[in-house]
Amino acid sequence: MKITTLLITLRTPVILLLVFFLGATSASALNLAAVEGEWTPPDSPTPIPMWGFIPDPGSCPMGPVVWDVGPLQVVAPGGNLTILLRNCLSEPVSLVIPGQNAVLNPVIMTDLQGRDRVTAFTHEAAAAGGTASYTWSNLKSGTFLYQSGSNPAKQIHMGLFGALTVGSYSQVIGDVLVLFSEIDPALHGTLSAATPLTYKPKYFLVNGKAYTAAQPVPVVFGGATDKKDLLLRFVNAGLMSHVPVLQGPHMKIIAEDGNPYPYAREQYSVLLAAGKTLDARWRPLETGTYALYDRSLSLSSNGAPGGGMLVYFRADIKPFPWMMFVPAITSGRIRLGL
Amino acid sequence: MRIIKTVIQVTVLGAVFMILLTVSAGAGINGISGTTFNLTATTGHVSTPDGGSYLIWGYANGAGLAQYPGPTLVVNQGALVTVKLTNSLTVAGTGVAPNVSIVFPGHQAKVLPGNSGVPGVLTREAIPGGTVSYQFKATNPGTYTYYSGTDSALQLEMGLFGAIIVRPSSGSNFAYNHQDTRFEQEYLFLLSEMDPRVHQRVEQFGPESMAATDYLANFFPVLWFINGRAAPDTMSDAGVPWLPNQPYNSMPRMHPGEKLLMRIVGGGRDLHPFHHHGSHSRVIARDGRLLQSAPGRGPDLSHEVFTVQSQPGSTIDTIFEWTGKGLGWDIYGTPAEGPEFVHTCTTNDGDDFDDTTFEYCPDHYQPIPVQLPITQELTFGGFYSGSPFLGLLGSLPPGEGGLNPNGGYTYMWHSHTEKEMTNYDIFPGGMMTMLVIEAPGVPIP
Amino acid sequence: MTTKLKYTIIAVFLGGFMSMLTVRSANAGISVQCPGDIDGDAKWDTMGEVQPSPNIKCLHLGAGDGFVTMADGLSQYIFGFSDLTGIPTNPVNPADPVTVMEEGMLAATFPAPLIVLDEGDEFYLTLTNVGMAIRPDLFDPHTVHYHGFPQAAPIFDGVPDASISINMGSSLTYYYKVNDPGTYMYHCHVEAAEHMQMGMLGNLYVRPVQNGTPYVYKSKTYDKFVYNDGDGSTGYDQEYPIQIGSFDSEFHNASASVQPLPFALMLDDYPMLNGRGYPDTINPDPLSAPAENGGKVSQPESSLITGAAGERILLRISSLDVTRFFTLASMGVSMTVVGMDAKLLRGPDGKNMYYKTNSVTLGGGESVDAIIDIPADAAPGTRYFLYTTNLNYLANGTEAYGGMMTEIVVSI
Repeated sequence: MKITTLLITLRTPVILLLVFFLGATSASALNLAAVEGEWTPPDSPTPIPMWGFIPDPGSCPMGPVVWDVGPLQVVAPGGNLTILLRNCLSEPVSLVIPGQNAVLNPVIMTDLQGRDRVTAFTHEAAAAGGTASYTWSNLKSGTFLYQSGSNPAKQIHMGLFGALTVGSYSQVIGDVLVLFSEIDPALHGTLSAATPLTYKPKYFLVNGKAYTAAQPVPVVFGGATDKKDLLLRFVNAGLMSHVPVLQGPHMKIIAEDGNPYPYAREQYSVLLAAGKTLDARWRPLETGTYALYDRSLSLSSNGAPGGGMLVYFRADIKPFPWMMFVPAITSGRIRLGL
Repeated sequence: MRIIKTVIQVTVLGAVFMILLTVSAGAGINGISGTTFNLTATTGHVSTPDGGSYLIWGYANGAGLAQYPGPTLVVNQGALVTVKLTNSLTVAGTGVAPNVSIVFPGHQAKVLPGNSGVPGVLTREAIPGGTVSYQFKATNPGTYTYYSGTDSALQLEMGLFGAIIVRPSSGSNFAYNHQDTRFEQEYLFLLSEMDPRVHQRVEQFGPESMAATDYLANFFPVLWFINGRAAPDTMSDAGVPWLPNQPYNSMPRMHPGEKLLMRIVGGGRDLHPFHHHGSHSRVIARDGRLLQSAPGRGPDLSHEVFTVQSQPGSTIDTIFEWTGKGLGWDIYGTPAEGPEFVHTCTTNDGDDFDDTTFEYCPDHYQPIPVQLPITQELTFGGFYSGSPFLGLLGSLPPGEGGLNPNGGYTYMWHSHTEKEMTNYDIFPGGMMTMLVIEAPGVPIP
Repeated sequence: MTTKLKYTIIAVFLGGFMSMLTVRSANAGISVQCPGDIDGDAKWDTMGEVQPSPNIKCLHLGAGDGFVTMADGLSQYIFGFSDLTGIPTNPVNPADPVTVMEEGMLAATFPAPLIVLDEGDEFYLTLTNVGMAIRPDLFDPHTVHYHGFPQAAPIFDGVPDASISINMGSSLTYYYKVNDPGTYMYHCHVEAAEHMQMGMLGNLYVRPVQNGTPYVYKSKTYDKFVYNDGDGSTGYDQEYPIQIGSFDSEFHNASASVQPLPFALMLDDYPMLNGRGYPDTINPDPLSAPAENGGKVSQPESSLITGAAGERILLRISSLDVTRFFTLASMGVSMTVVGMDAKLLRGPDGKNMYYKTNSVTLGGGESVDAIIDIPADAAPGTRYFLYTTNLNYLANGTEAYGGMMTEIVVSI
């Protein structure tokens, strides 16, 4: 197995996080842009058209960018978060964070029968360069999905999503995001040809990448302290349920949608429903490589076996307790308030 | 016409009917026990009640036949368990037989030096004709699963999965090491589904041809199984000769007042809402871990459900009880029905239940408050005894009933995704069986 | 469409041997059994009729067929239940006994009539099989299965395989003593994959005896509770049953046109809450009657959720979906899950396992009691949403902006 190794010790991020939490400001601001992108599947050189969130470059890009999950946002609890959205797409886009407090200003359409229908959960940035501002107050701790609130049946599977983490937990050596998503190419190339009800994804991604043996995933995470837990932040941006299984000691599931459980749930697998986030603590017993995969068997890429929702955790008790064979969210880890 | 023309005392004639059973249960949980298991991955065919026959890849016990699901491994807590896997898979035509392997979720399995196979995606694998040996310590009691870690999307669909039961040191009538996990009856419900297109394609063109289809992603099952059988085969005896690759049945039976442990395993890739008619059950464990707030507390975080949400690859242990408490009428009838209905309800321990039969004494001799329609107005079920009372047989029109010779109370246990109660377009079938609550004194094998 | 059926009421003379049986056969044909009710309308509204106790409850349901309208305008043929309570089946003044059959014809509603009971009730439900007006070739019996009622006896459990089901033109009275509060559901269990896909599904819940006893919880006084919690923590101001379901239009069309039923290919394309797709879910009124039903309203249940700022809203969520699991999420507000499958979410020694979440995932036959706290500072008119995160089901057939979604609107 050929693996591009990129070890990052955790010591530095931990310190940064500590500094960050101590010095957290009451308000954070970030600029995002909704843009056209392309994702190249492992089995074909022909890219699949996507929509995605990127850090706002200040103006709309000239052509499609390389698609990835939206930038990870790491913010402090308790304060406010403001996101300025620039919409470079051909239809209106909005931004919602299920689980966080916000005043929703839905967009309402009156249909031919005179019935009002909400087409967007909140106010939108107009197509082709429009902007809008979104504010969430008194941020709740935990792991969250941010996503388009406009025509969600279409825009979310087009790729308009990312993750937000607020705060952290005690006795945790570090945290890693495991974000599941799916792509049904039939709904991307010719949008009018297929309807969402026929959604049948062919590619299954973790953090924006489908595992294939030929395209090994890089290590993105390492650590150097033992006797602490790794925090796994599971996020499902897909439209289907998945069931991550950790091939190793049981996890302790401690929160969902940013809400701590009254009692931790000790399981080796967990239902990760569509749109759900889960936080889990996990600690290996010994040095080894631990696979994390989807037990609902989204383990193929366009029908070919040996791919899909599979990542590895590498634990070396000494000298490096943690390495993770998890694809990074390469568009950048944006830390606010630093 | 009387509904109850003839009342037959079960204790007298039950034994006679036992001989006539066309549908009967095997005892408890079938499986193989020990510390060392020799499993062979090989091919076979499953039969479905709609007349279908599909190629499977299954784990066999040694030189035995491929099983769907694989043998249930029953081990004792603390045992060092060795599983030697031999890959005897063959494929059609010029295709290459695949590697095969086993993963043991919830167990920290190692590969034995000297017989370590070749590296794979999730674990080390046995090449065609080769072997690999795994070893794990059964540290924690409970219900677990095992399945292929090789090309899992295909190989699980082909049948390479099974259940593991780790018996606690407290004894074989406990699920875990706590008094509140004690049971009188236990049954396995290993749930799975099948998309025949996959099996037909593998049989005709070999597994490598799957890449030319979207079946593994666009999975569309039309067959559903409990312990490898689709209803009504679920209710035939274990080991019947006409289902050589499907040796396990699913026919739970119990008496009133008993605790029945359901060990529910998600063997396939889909969620299934397993609804057990009759009453709630108490979910005491998930993935082989007691639902407890701290070690030794017992299942103090258990909760009751009427439908068990079975998730793929996970296990649920849940305890079902039934007494008929609070029905408002006597399940054994009243003397007004006839002299044979005379019975007592005696409780010396003050729990409101008869000390022997678990009859709920406050309802003793209370009549059913409504009248039942006459025969012409009714359609009768095969599991209906002809009587609303427990342990009694009533008269039924010719050809009706007959599947409940002891006059038990019968309840459907099934997937509440009702589509899954079919066999490829034919209802009823699929992920369904019947619980029989037998009258006190009726032997349960 | 008024396909008239000539129903033959089976007339059977009962012999005198009945006297020796306590459990004996009722009169043949249509017959409502309800203590204290004389004219057989399952009500105590006529001279001389007395409800024996406040805990005696009666209902008369018909089982038959009808039509509903999907949110995109598509008419769908259904099987279903109708409420026939109030129609005398044993009239004091002679009347045509076929009235029940006529009232029940093409009267099926989706979901089935809402059943609300109180803990301690003795419930007499009479089911009359009125037959299928559109499918006179079918002679299907029907049942009522109380899904989740604990300590059930097979005779009243409604599973045709395990006991009895009622034939066309006759009635069967189910008796159940309601001992346990919670959110249940009910449906026909005959040919379950067919009859349930066709729409014989309904909401049913039981209120606890604690209701009426004031408890202070978080400095507000409640007298309505989900369960007998002993501390008021399941107190609520408003309650809404929300039932997840979906139809496969091809299956319904095949049934209406007497074609083979596609069980294997069953793939639902009309996701709904309480029998409607969005935006019909937020219509507070009954949907207008389909022309095929001859003026009979068939979709009475709105899913519009309203509550004032600071109020606690109980969602009694159940699923009787026949084909798949659905995840139902709240947008803008969180839910606190206090009960599952008609049980308070506490351990055997009382450990509180309530948890907050933004979504619940239910397969068919599961229920969840979730409380939404409307923020105290929410402005009137504010909208929150309850919708499926299986986002491809936000559609009515091929029509976008629909499907399994409703709104939570802050009232004044």
